[in-house]
Amino acid sequence: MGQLYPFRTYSIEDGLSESVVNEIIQDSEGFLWLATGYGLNRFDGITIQNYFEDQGLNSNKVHSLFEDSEGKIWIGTEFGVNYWFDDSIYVAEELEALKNQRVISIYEDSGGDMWFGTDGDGAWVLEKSGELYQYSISQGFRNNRIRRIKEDANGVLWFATRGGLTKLENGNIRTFTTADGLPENRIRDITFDENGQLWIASREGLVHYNNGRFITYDDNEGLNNVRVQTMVFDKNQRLWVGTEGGVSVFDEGSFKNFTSENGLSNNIIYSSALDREGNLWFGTFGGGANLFLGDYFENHTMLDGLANDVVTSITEGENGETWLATYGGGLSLLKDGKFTTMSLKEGLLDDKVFSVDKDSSGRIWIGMRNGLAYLENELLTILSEDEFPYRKVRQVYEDSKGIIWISTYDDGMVRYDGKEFRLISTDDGLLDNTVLGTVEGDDGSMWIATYGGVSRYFEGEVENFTIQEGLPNNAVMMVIKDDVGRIWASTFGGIAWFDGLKFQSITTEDGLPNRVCYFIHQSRDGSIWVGTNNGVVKFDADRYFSDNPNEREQSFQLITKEQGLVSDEMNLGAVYEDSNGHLWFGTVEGVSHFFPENYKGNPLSPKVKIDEVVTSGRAHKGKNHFNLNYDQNYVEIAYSGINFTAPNQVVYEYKMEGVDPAWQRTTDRVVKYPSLPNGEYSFTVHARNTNGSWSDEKTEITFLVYAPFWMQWWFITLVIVTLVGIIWLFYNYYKARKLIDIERIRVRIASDLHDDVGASLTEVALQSDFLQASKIDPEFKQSLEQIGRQCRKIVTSLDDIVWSIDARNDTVGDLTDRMQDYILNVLEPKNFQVSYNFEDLKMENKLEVPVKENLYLIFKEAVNNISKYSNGDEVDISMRTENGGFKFQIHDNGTSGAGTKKTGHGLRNMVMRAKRIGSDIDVSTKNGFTVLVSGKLNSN
Amino acid sequence: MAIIGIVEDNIKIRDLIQRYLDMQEDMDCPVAKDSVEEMLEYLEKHQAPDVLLMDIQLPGMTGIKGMEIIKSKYPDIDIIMLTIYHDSHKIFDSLKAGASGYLLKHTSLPEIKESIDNLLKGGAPMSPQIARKVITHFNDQAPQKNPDSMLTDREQDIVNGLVDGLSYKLIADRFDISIDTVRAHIRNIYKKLHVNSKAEVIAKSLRGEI
Repeated sequence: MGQLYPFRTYSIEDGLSESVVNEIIQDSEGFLWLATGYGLNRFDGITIQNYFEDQGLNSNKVHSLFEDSEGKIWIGTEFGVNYWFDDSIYVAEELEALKNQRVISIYEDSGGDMWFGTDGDGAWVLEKSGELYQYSISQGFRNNRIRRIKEDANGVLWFATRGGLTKLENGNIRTFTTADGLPENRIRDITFDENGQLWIASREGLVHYNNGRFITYDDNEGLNNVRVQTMVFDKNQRLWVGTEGGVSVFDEGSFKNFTSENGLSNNIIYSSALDREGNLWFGTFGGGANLFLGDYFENHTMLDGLANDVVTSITEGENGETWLATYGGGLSLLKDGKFTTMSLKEGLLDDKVFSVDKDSSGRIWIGMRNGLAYLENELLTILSEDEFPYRKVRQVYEDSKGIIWISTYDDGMVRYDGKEFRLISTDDGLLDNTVLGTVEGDDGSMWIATYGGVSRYFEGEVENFTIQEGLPNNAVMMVIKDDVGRIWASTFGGIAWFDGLKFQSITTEDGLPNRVCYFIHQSRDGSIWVGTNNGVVKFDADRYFSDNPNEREQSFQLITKEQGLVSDEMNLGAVYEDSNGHLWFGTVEGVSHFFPENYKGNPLSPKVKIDEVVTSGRAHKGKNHFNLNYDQNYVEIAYSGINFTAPNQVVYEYKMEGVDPAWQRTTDRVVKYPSLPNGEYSFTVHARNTNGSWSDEKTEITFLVYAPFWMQWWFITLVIVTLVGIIWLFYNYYKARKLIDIERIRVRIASDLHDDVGASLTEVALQSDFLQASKIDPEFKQSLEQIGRQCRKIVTSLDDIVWSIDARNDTVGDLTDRMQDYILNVLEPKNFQVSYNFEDLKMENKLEVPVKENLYLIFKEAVNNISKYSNGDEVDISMRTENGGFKFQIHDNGTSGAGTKKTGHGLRNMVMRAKRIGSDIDVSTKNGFTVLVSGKLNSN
Repeated sequence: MAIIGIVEDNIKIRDLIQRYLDMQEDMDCPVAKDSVEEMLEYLEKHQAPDVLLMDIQLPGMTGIKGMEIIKSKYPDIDIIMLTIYHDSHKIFDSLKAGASGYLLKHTSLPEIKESIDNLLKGGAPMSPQIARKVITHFNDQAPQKNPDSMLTDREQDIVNGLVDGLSYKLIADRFDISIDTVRAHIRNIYKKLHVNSKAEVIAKSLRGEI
């Protein structure tokens, strides 16, 4: 078993339709397409979408894929060609001629003509004009099985066939075979390097066509299998080949091989591709697709010989060998790719080894749970309990003066000057006796990491730093000194740096991805590496201290299992940089050997696509704008950023205009908006990788939520109008009813009075009449007459009151009738000439009861006045109505009115009554007696 | 000798009027009843009076209803409405129902006698407000175009004069006729009013409404 490389497999278990991957391409939108022996697949990093004959494919056997310059994806199947456009699969009608052909290669040349290579029927070209031509043996080809078609920089087309390499240049066909130096006529793949030179995959090795010569690279150069099937250049222009024996990279004249032992799911490689993030994809025969993140990690576990997977400490020996301390397996020695173990059996005190450190004399110090030992010239020396009575040794550190400082978990710090071991503990002022490590400062003071904080020990003096002095946590696991002499500490609550007076902490609040920091290390390029519970953080202090917030945000880059780390959980102090500048990270599941120079990071910001919008259960797919009813306002938007390097580390920022006040950050790929009010919305989302910057390109959808009908203006208006109407009706109804009630009571009281009192008075009057008829004293008779007259007067008054308030007598005509009647009774007998001027009156017009009542009573008062006091003989009565008002005038030609004082009371009465109905009254006694009343018919 | 009858539920008023009229030399008032029903009973067995004084508000049948019945059975009886209300609507209703005139109850006894005398002489009282209602009534009847039930020109003139507030005397002067002629015209107008109303009643009964 060799070391493991960061290969990630996607196969049937992950949703791939089949495990034989014939071709892989990435389209312009970022989707990865995989052609398999049963179905076509589209992958976005998270979900694999499958397409079969049901979705329109000619055949479920898909052999080849190609995206043309128009974004059309051509699909070569067992039975002809389909293409994908605008989210649908179509049949390429113009390629009807190929419908029974297995199409195994597709290519678009620089002229826009589409080429289709078949497995037995030659190459076909579909020209832009729509014409279809065939190139086969009949046209001069040596073989009709066309595995690959490509055009070089000069416009020459090259065909990889099973009968040699054919080129088509200005209409001339030429085929190269073994006779021309090819190692084998069966060519599987062709490609061009950055200089435009041709590389050929043959069944007998990798071939380079250079200056008319074919140069073959095969097992002589280390290729483990010479049947080269597929080729791909990586971002560093290294040529990767897929063979029937795995994957090999051709670099500086030799091959490095990767097989299933290194993490490939299958050794037979059929296809390959480079994605935009720089990842290599290898399609296998039976193992699905393998994503190769790069050869920046080499992982070692018990599978390839590590003594135990819990690696606690790493150091490099004198001759480039690597020593790895494990907790439970003793010490592992890695030399020339091979592991050997030194454990209890080999004489160690314990298999639980905490630390392995090398001093300046080349001694390898081994700190164990049960004590301390060292290796010198391959000789193991165990320190006796008498000499070194301490256990749980976590670190052995040599300072600039050659003093050895030994950190112990329970006993404190032990200082060894080569002669004696001296304990420095809480008795000497240390914060805690659990000491995890130490480092020497520029001034020669020792910074000691303890579970109580950081203690600074200098010439017997101890200065302590805890949370009060700025540490994020008192449990300090490691201290280091950086390239400018600054002291850094990693703790259970983050990291911290010493500013000269106190510590300045950097925690999750500042962007640190995880709070538990098992180790901290500065590599030679200045980067600070922090081991956490969730991967290794590459911390860029310069960026962190930058004023630019975006820079600051990107100062933390996370490297996890997704990027190839053997495990996300690091071990305390388990970091080491070897003499080549490569880093070692000890984890609980093995050790990762990291090659920073090969690490490309994951800088490409993912393009975000909206997967689906579900509104109250209804899905809207593939639309950027839609309209929703008011009751579809539960909106769920699913989106995803296409990223293959670390699909689960994509960070999104979204904003719903009008709802979200600012950008919302999340790692979720669904956002829900329950019950959106009506209005126009626009949802914008963009993404970045944990280690990358935000994409400038933002994805947007817009939609409209209609107002529910009860929110539409017309409905609201209607409701308001109706409400007002109802209120008005009620108001009027009650008002009217109240008025009617009052009216009824008035009439009732008046009628009752009239009926009862009137009847009695009538009796009295008649009685007096009756008595008068008998022979009686004339004086007595006069009294009786008086009684009778008085009674009748009262009855008449009562009658007038009843009449005037009786709502049935409500027309102008009723009023004038009554007036005439009264005149008839009062003035006619006195021989007044009464003339009426009611010509223009509309007798049917209604009069309000108060107006009628008061006007009548004013009239009566005036008539009585005339009847009593006037010495005239003519009376004019006129009434006019106009514009809702009336003018009533009564006038006589008498001359005595002015002199009488008896009008006083009656006058006041008239004025009062006129006031009651809001009318003006003018009483004049010049030129006869005149009363003029003018007011409104409607007293309201 | 004129025979007068009374239908009035107020005993005291009834007695007073009856006694007063009985005292008159040219009048005999043998009957004064509480209700229309009693009067109808009386009429079946006795000689019909010439003039009947009738209250409107009566226990049982109303005076107006009673008047219609009495008028239909004994068309020769002249009926004078006795009312405590000076209410033109009620009065006009009673005129339509067949009354030949009306009197307010508190009218003095000598005036009551005078009114009866006038009626017996062939006259009839008509106030301007009644006159206006007469005009309206006949205008509403116009579409029937029954010449017998329409007012003659002279009748029309007289009613107009009444509406203008002219006295019988002034009307007589204006048209150069005697006051008695005016009265006769007015009486005739009452009759036409009655006929119209009867026609209306018959029409209604044919339709099954009564």
